[in-house]
Amino acid sequence: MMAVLRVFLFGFFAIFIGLLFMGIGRKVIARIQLRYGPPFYQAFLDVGKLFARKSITHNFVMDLGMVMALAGLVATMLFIPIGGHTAIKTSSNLIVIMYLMAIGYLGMAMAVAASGNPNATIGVSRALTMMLGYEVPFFTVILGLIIFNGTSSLELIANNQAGGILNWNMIKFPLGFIAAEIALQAMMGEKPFDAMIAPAEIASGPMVELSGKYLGLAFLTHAVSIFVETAIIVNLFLGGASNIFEFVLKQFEIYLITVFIEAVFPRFKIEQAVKFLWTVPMGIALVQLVMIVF
Amino acid sequence: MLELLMVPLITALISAVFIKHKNIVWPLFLTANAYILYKLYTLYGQWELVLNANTNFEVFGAKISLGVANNPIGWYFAFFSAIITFIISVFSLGFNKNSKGNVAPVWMLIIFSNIGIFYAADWITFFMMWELMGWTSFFAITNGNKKALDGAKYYLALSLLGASSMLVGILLLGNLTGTFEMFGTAYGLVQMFSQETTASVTIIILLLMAFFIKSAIFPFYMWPSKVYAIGPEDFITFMSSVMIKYGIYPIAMFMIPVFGSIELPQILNTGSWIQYFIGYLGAISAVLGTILAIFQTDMKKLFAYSSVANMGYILLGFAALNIVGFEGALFHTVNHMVLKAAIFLTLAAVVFRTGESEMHKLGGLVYRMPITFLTFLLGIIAAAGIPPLNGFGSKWMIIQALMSKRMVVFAIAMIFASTGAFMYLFRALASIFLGQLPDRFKEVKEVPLTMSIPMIVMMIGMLLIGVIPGVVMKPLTYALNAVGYNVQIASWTTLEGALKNSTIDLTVVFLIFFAGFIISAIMYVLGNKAQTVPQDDNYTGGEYPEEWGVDADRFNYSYSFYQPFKEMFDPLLERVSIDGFFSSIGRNFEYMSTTVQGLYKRGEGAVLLFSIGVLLLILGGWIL
Repeated sequence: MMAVLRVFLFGFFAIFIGLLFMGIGRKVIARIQLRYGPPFYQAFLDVGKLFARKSITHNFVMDLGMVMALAGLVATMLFIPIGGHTAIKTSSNLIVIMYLMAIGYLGMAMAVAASGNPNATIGVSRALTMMLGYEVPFFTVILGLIIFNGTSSLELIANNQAGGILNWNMIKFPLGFIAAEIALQAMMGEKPFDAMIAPAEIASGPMVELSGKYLGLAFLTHAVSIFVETAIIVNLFLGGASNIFEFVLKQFEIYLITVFIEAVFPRFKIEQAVKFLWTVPMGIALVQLVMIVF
Repeated sequence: MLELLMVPLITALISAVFIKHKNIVWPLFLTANAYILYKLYTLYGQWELVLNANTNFEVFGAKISLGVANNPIGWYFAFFSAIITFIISVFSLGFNKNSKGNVAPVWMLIIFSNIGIFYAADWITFFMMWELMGWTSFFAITNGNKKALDGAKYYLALSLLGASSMLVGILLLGNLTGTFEMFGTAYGLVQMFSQETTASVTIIILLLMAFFIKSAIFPFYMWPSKVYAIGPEDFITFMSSVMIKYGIYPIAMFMIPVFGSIELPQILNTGSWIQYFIGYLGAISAVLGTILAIFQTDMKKLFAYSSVANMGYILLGFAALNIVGFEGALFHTVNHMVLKAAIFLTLAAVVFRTGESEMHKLGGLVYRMPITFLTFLLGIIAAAGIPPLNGFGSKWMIIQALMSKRMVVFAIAMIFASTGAFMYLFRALASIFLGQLPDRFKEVKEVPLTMSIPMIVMMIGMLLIGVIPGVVMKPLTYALNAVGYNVQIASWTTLEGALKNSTIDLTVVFLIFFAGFIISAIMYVLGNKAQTVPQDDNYTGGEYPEEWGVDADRFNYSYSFYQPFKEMFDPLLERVSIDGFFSSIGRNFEYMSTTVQGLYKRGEGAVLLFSIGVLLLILGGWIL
């Protein structure tokens, strides 16, 4: 019973924090662009409105896919240690986390492709291409950390950095951190790596056929993915945290960096983005990897 | 033991006699497979069973004896392939109702050689079974179809190349070690390695070449795409799930123990050159297979290249040369059997109903074939290595093994290949089953019960192995223990990694995913209700597609799905083409043979042959 409660608590906590971040992010971008911007709780209002509206669906695959998308990301979130707490006692294996995230993306891709709109399918094809672009440098960075620590448990990697800021992997492996940050930008689908959304070209790509609660579920999925991705970076490079408050603060710092970059950059074409990801961050990550292994 | 070999032979004979009567042959085929499966099940644990026929012949001082033995690793391969074969043969029952040819007798012979290969106690038996399998599969692929001849010839030529290199390797091995028995030769090879390094390395390379050809490892990765595209779909299912593993079995059985025992200098403190040799071939197969799969338009070719990539993973697992990598590779062998069989059964179902295997001509079949769709969905989730389905556990073990050995290049290649797998797998899903249903497929129905039940069984199988990996890992670890590996018996639910604190419990992973699903479903139910609209009710920016002459078929993004990505790789792929290399060899041979033929016609050839013969005689006498 306790475990079930914990699972629900963690799941809704992640959704809450993710939506909060999204709202603050919009406000920050607006201020950078000298606009006033919506209130910081706008994301909650949006989701509430979307769930209250009627929506359309094309077939059962769309429903299944959207549920699968959120389920995959929530499941990933339950694996990640948050400031010394995990929803369920596991070895918080990094490879499991990376692959579980994929089921969320697969669900989303399946749902939007089932709608039969070519714009959505183009968006998904771009998103998957981008995924190949960022997963390779990101994994290279992770590989270095795994070899350095001799374990693939996220919790142990975070714990190994205890005892002051100088022990953080961010300070010890600055190159790896930079590469991971660039990969994170692509992972979150923020500019300059947002070719899959591209509202002006393909009508928001995957989102084109989503309405009502489906768009609401997509919002929630995005919120949890923000939470998961920043949490992985915090655990890998910022030494985890001793309590949840500190942890969320660190996550917010990471999220702010991506928002700052998002606010000022234009968009790469998809092949430019992949080429960039395979040269610059991959090169940096390889240098870091060589420094760790030898 | 004897009946295990006799039943398929007799069945093949009977079904050859009754080849015209489909409703006798296919039920017989099913019964024989059921019997083999049952028999193999009873053989578990009786490792001392052998069947030997001694002869008085000797080659190079090595006595020739023919024998089969119930060896544990062979049992592991044979048993799981028998399960898959049984499921496929249920499917064949319905599938072959209106097919033209009848592959059952030939297929039964392959099943006979299947058991022979996995149970051979010596290299002579192994080679005989190997050859039988190579020849018969040629006839099964063509199946009286003239169009299939080109691809089948390519396969046959490669098979012959492999068989001849294997024959030379076996003879050299017999000469070096003085025996043809599997364990004896392995032991002998290890003993002789330091003294006769050149000969031993030659033998290893020759044998590996034969195995790599059969398992479609780079540089022999072309045949699956050619063969799978043309063969009868149910036989291709068997081929892609079971037959492609014939190269893996002798590597696991013979090569890895040898590599593990010989002392070689380490490169970069991680592995010896042999490890790097098979590792690089595996990595290239994985990466190249993935990239090529991304660009295919024919679904059977796409999954052929996916098989190449998966064989690459297995080889990478072997390359780590530690127990986690070894177990991971063998585990992945069975996982790949299950998931590839599931995927190819759905492809067969799609071809059965639509007669189409070009992906961009299909689409929207989920509206008509939901069970096929679900099987395919679970199959691709498994193939992508996503928990909670099978395919994840074994890939995870292989990556763990590579990371613990610090083989960073291979680990990165593995991640590249398995992330690229999402690209081609999703492409297949989107193009075949999702999107708009073309008008000409409006009348398509779900496959009949005999075909949908095997698919449902495959779904259950994939989920079962994914959630409770012990179903495969327990027999595997028992078998490895029986052979003499010092391994822990696996538990039902957990997998042991090679790194510190890296035990994962796949059942817990499944439960967590289930919890996520519940949370997600709650959110879904909380939302206001949805209304189902027709497939062509889409946002089109205010335009009416009909006015532009765009029907459901054309309102689908599925041709050149990854065009920008393809443009990145085009320069590379134009340069790397093994096909071009082989065809240049072929041209040169043709040129040579016509030259010789021309000489012969004019009478000069006879003189030439005579003089070559004399020269050889003189040389032979001089050397001996």
